[in-house]
Amino acid sequence: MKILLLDGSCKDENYNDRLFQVAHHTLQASGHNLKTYDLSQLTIAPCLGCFGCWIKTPGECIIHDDGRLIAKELMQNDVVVFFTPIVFGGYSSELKKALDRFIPNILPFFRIHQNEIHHVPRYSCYPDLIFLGTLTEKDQSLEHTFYQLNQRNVLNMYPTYFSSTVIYEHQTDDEIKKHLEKVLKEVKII
Amino acid sequence: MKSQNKNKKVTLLVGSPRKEKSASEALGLYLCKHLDPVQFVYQKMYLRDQVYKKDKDREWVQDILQSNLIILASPLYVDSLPSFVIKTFEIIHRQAKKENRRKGIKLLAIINSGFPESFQNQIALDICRHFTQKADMVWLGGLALGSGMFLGGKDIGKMGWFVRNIKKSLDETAVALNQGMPIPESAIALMQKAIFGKKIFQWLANLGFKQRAKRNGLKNEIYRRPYIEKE
Repeated sequence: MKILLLDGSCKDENYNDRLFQVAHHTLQASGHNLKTYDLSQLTIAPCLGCFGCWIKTPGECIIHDDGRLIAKELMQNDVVVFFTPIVFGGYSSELKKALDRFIPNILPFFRIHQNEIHHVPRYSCYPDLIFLGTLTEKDQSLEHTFYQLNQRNVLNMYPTYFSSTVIYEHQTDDEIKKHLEKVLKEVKII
Repeated sequence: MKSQNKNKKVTLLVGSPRKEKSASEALGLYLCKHLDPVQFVYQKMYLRDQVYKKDKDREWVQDILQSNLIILASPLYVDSLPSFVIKTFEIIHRQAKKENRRKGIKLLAIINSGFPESFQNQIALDICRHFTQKADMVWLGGLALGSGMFLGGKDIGKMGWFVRNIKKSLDETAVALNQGMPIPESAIALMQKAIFGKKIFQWLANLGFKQRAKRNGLKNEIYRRPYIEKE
């Protein structure tokens, strides 16, 4: 199984990589083929909202940078793990800049799905998803928004299985590892 | 920016990379133009230009933090705000924590999406609300619009019956802001009213994309699968 781990951590002066390292080791220990990208090190321009990936160069963004690479990797892995600090209830700008470039992987056309309008998939198969949010401490309100956002993304990214969870800085490495193993079981990785 | 009578500074943050061609700017500008000109003076910022500017002092952030009222007008991108709007929030939040700045800046958001259902914008509005709380600002509420793509960058004031509920919503919001009040519930409800039903939206939008692709010489190529390895 091929697993893609996208690290959306903001590498500012308060950054501590412990949570990411525990997540990375836990995924590695699953024995699958793991590929990791530190999104802060990639050149990913923001989506232009030009629809070029739909009506000019279908399936590929018109911007030639690492955003194209990530869009391709998203389609060529079995599971994608989005690792992000929870920022105002959503994803970090580092992760979001990559996610905004996902839209070449869907068609411009619309359909009714679960009684809502959504885009038609471009491909017949999409990766399963794990949303892994981090917080310094428990915050029910932010977590609620984060989980709702995950649910909305699932409607538009078509995984067969998905799981989302939040880990905290006060948790020990062992607690986080056990927590993550449950998540990996939900997505049939272990 | 200040004149004798105008002492409240409003900053319109345009969160669309399409700038003046965007529904976001059209919505934000309509609202700004309907604010009481005696009380308010407004300025406009394109966030995509500001965030990536090589400006070490980030004067644009100071400029925003000196506002009395911030109006964010943004499209919905992948169920949330565009990355550079989130980046703006991150920068403002960091800066606001560092310095002793003006307290009680008010913020409201107008989010529009390319789906007909306005509720698909709710998460983006929730993120704006969380931001205002973390940045010690005052949340005045949010307006959510579906089918925003059909507005383009047109002047809403010159558009007709099609946008009547949008105009009414923004007019009511302007009246409330002129009185120092948050967005009224009636304005929120008016903006939420669907421009098109699902079936009509689906037909119009699908036809529109097919025609635009055709103008670029594309027909079946529109269904290309360049990253097919998995199938």
